[in-house]
Amino acid sequence: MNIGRYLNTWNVILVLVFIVLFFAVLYPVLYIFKASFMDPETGVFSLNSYQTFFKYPYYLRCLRNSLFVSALAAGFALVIGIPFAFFLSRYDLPGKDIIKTLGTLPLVTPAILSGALVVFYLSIENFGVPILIGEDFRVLSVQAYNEFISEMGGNPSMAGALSMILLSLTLLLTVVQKYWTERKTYATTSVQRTAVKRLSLLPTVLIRIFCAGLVFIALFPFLVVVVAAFTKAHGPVMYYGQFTLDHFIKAFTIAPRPILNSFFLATAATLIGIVFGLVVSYLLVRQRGTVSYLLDVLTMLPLAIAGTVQGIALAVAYNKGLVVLTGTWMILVLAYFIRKVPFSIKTTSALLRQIDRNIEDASVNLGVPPFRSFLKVILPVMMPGIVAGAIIMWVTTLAELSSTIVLYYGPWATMTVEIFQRINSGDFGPASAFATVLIVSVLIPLFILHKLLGRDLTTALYRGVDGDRSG
Amino acid sequence: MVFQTYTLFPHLTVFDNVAYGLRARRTPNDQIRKKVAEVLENVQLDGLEARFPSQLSGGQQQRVALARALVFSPRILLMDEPLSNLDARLRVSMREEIKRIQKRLGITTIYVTHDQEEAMAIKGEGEPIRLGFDAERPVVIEP
Repeated sequence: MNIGRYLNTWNVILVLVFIVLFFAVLYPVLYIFKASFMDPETGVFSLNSYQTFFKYPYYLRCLRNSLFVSALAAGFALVIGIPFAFFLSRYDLPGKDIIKTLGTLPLVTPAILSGALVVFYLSIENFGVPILIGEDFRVLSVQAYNEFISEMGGNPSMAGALSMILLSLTLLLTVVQKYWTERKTYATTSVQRTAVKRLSLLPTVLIRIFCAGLVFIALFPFLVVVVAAFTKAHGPVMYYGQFTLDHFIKAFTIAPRPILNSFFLATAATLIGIVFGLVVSYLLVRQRGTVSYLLDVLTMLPLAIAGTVQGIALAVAYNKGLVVLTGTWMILVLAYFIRKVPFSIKTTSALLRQIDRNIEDASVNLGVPPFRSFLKVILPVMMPGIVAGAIIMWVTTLAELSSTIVLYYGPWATMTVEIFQRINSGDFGPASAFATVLIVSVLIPLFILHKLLGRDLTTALYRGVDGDRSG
Repeated sequence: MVFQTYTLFPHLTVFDNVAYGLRARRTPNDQIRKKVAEVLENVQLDGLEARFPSQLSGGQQQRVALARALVFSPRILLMDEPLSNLDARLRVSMREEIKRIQKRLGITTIYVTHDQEEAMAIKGEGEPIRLGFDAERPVVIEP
């Protein structure tokens, strides 16, 4: 058994992983942290940016708007989401049992609160929605972007300060949410599954209408976009009822670059993410202790950073110096990769945890060197998790706007940037065409994923692995 | 070596599980086929070559694990509580089968177990060895 070499290979990989995480996550954030405390003119320590923020109602209103909108969204999510979840899971509950059910409410409170916090977090972090339909209603993520854009090449201090404030909020939310989630697991282990029962006609109909209505409201905008993509338009004026393929022809022939860019960047980031995610999951599951904990925190950190903030941090940190990445496509891949790799790590490490550790030992015992054992035994067994993680990474990257808008330059505009800009200039037809392409490109992989997971994914994939082996 | 848990490779068929070590040693294909067929017959698994481990019973899985270790015709076989994953009834029939296979192939076997009864049943002529640091685990060495 070649234990010595085994440990060394993985230790080298561990060091490499930490180096990547340092330069992709920690260093940029620390850089804007430092920049936010620096006077843009002289470069000496100053609290000016923070003073400006708390002195002018203009900035404070952004903070208030962010908090207000997010709280409202979370509130709505609670009011609508709780009955929705209830109806879906205990669909046909008889009326007399409702009181009994209400009794279980305290048990699900952590889950509900945790869900509300997630909504709060997603709202406060969101960039695309407020910048497109927010008009003068400025929120933190948009304002940080505005400061950054208007001061590109100048000082990043104010953008840094706004980013830091937004970052403290999202970090705080993540910590609180994690705390609640952990309490939830604690409480629900003792809860029994409630039997699904039938209801009489009227409540059934009402519940059906409620649920279908919600789904419809959620899907309606997408429907409009798809219809608009086929509708004749002249700038912002839509001629509904008159159909055309012009917008698609335009998108595919005159401006196909954003579509190709999106696919290329998402694929590149996903491929890197697969390898990185696999290696990190392996290290997380097989190694215990402080190192593993640190690795876990560092890889999950991007989830707690708003896209805009991450974009600004990367752009500022790699704008000058030894490694200049700002203004290249590589910085987009880096941003996508580091923001989406947590999904891959989650899916693969969940599977890896279920694999008997002895399987590797057995392979080594049968004469296969340790690292080759990993490739021949662990890798194929983890295939389902890898595929699921890759699909999630790919589709979420494709739909990414908040860090892209900060990091892209001219020829590397993605579909989302193209949509954003065309809506801004009132060019609704082509914008809808691009949006439709985006919707379809996201739905197809998700559909495939669902199909795969719906059946016995593991056997399906094992067969797949089986097929490409010789002998 | 036979492990406490079956440690079969879930993504490989019975045949490929047994052939795994031979392939790692770059044994020619026709020899692999011959050896695997031979050893599977020995553990009475012939006919199940194309099954995946998840399609086998516990006893069958344990026999695949045994076949995987036997296929090299090793001089010494180490079995670390090979039956602890099986239920009580199966354990008795499996240990008899292990003994039968071991007798026929004449492989020196180191058999670790917690179970006094199992140790007495599986042992050959000699007395089971009790390891000083762990009196609960008699070790049986068969010639």
